Amino acid sequence: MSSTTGDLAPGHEHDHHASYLTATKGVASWLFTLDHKRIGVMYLVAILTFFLIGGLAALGVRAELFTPEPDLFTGSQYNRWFTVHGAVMVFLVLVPSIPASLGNFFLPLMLGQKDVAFPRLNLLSFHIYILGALFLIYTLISGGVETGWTFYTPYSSTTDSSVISALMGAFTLGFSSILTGINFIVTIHKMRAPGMTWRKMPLFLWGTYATSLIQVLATPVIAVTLFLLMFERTFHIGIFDPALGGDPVLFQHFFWFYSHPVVYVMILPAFGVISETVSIHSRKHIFGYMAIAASSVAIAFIGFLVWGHHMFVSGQSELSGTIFSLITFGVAVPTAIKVFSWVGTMYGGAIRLNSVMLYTLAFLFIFTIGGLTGLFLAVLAVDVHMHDTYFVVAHFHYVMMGGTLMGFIAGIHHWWPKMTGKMYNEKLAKFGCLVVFTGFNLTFFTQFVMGARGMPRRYHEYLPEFQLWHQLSTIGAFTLAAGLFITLGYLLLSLKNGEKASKNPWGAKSLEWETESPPIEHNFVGQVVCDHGPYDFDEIDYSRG
Amino acid sequence: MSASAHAHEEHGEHISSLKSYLVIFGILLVLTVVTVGVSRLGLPSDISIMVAIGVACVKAFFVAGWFMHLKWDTRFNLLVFLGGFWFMLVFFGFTLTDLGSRGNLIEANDNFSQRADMGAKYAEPAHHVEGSGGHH
Amino acid sequence: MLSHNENEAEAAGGHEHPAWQAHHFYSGAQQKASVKLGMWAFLVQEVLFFSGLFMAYFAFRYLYPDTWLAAHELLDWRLGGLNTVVLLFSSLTMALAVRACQLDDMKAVVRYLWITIGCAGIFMVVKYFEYSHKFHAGTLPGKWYTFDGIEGGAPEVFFAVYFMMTGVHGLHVVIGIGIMLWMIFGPIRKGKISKDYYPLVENVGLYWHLVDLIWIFLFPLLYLVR
Repeated sequence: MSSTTGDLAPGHEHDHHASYLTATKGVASWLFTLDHKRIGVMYLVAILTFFLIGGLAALGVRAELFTPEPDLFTGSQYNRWFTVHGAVMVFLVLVPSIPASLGNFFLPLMLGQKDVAFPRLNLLSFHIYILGALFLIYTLISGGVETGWTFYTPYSSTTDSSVISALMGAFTLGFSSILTGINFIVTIHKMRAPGMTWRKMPLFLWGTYATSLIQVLATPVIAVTLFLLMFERTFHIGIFDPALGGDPVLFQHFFWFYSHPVVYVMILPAFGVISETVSIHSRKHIFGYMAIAASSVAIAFIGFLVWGHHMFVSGQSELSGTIFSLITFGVAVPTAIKVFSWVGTMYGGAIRLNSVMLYTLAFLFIFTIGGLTGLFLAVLAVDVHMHDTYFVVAHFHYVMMGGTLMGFIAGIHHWWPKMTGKMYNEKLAKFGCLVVFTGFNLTFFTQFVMGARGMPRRYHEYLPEFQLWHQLSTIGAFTLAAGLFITLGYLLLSLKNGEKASKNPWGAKSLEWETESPPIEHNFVGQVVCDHGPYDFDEIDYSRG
Repeated sequence: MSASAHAHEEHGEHISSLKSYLVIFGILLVLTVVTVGVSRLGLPSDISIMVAIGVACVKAFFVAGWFMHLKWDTRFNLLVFLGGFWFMLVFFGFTLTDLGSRGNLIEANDNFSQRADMGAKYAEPAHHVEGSGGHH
Repeated sequence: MLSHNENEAEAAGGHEHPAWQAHHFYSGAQQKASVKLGMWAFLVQEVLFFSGLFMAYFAFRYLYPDTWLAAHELLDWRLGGLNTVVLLFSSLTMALAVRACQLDDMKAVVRYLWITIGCAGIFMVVKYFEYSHKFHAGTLPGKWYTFDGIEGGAPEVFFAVYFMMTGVHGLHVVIGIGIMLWMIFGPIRKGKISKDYYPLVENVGLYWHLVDLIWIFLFPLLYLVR
């Protein structure tokens, strides 16, 4: 490994009890830090930046679709816009989102540790992430890619656009993801505070753990897939291109062996966040702790057995389609166990209806719709009709955007006081949440309707009878964007003039709330001992309402 | 680390004798000769590949167990390593299931059509997956 | 992967910890166990990376069985067998290097590492002759395939799979050589490896055995099966 010297060079005279934000100064002290908290914050900033880029691409797509005629883009340009949106959102935003930012920041804190197991590897994974991002940015500048984020062959191996740099980007980002996964697995296995058994671990860590398993097991397969595709494109070796004797459906197997489990890389940490927020802001012990923990791991494992449900109309055999369809229903079981447990947690709790809870409720509402429409699509006969329509687009946005991003935003709000030491404006936060929620549903619920009526995806012009739905969807998208900008605005404002946060503003019980807000450089003074569960709240005083 | 939970990891490292390493190396050489020898017997292709993979698995067992010290490592590290192979088998299993059963329904349909004498239109087999011409 | 860092230990106050123990670990044993588990997780990652290449092998063997049987005859099993023996021997010397660490005989460690590097070099030289023969014969992937005399469809796909599998494996051998050289001239020369702390050597050993393990499967599948 490279021997980067961090901020811990000999001759250090800084105060170890100072906040991690101010312990050392200068850009280099951030870029080459070994502190998991700073790495987490840098990831957060980077991810939000790419979220902005991916979001702007989405707005471009929606603006084009305001009228049935092509007004803004040609077909080829439109392809490039939605590919930028998809590739950036998947590889740069959703996959790293919660684990790399909030996970990095809070995993050692929740375990009562000073750092993750391999701090240098952690920094390396961030640098690799930036390198991968540069490849994708280069792709953007050099004209973009028309293939969609899925890079299906033979189009991706024959089309004229900067596919190679996009492949390099996704390939590189994979390694960042693998290194983070290895780091988290080892940290959770080997570095828990004395007294913290597996059953006393906060559920966020269970979610992150299940995610890490998938990252280590699935990501190498996409790496080899993209590697082969690079050779296919450059040397036409004929593994995936049917004209040269290859098998394009084999590519889809390779691709979805990673890309289906990676859906759970995106959603499992969000499940973890929701498990935290729903319990802490209901001030009630989580309902079904072991059920939620075990279902995270179960989802991770079953998630590896269902990838063929993306390929029902690909030419895959009928037998495989039937098997994949059947197992897909199996994923619904652990997922439903979670949803019921969260609802059960709220029942009889002393619910604090703040912005964190509002985002949690938004998650529950949106994710349930996303999950159930996934079951429609798991039915072979229905999928033949729904495949490649807006119904599918709406479904995975309800899961990915509504699920992962609502969870992400809920987590950011929940842990903002800890990360920054500042409280945000709660009124604006509630208002922002309302706008985001309205905008989101307006954007994507209309797409369910369009899709069910036969509007195919990835077209830049369409029949006039879909216009009303498309216009509602576009209005929704801009509303959603406005809501997100409001959110960004008050969060940034809070850094400047927010109220100072106390150690534990929510009255939570997990270890990260036992240190200062923001935490000191080495997280805790002395050794932390875990002597209670993460959700052992005092009896609720119902007389207070 | 919860001290009690991981106390078993505190034991000293196992040092294998020079002789044991040489014995393992000898076994691996013998197995290499075996796999080459079997391949020249002219067994049917299916059996030949199974024997080859079988012998390779035995060799892998010795490399992993003795050279990689999994025999003396924690059970969990063994589980991690074997778990990786399990996911590899999942990948192979599902993908090969697809390759092996493509066109089955069409064939079954054709047979049914022929039997029911529903006309030559359906009797013409649209797909052949057997042979070396590739699929489709 | 191996984050033993004296600076950090000093920064934490040094205490009674050995110099190699990083400040965020409770004990040296915990650090060793963590580093080891991290390596095993990394090896799993390697196994799944190669699984894609093996998957391609099995898929096309299924789709083009006649080509597969005809094409593998063009590979020289003697050279493949020689490389198998060389790699097995290098695995032995690697295991002995780790054993020498346990016995605190650093001179022997360096000696065994050099033998391992030598074997890896022989492997690559043999590979070079095999490759150059194929370049002459025109048994190459894609449009470079000019060989005449294989019955069955798409023989160039066999060679695509052959070159991808052996190429990626060879890349791992070269990386292994690089890491071993770095280890000899870096940490070992600086005296950072001792009987008390040698996970670096152990983990490079694990990596090297995995490279061997993959070849154990590549050899019969590519050179022998008929």
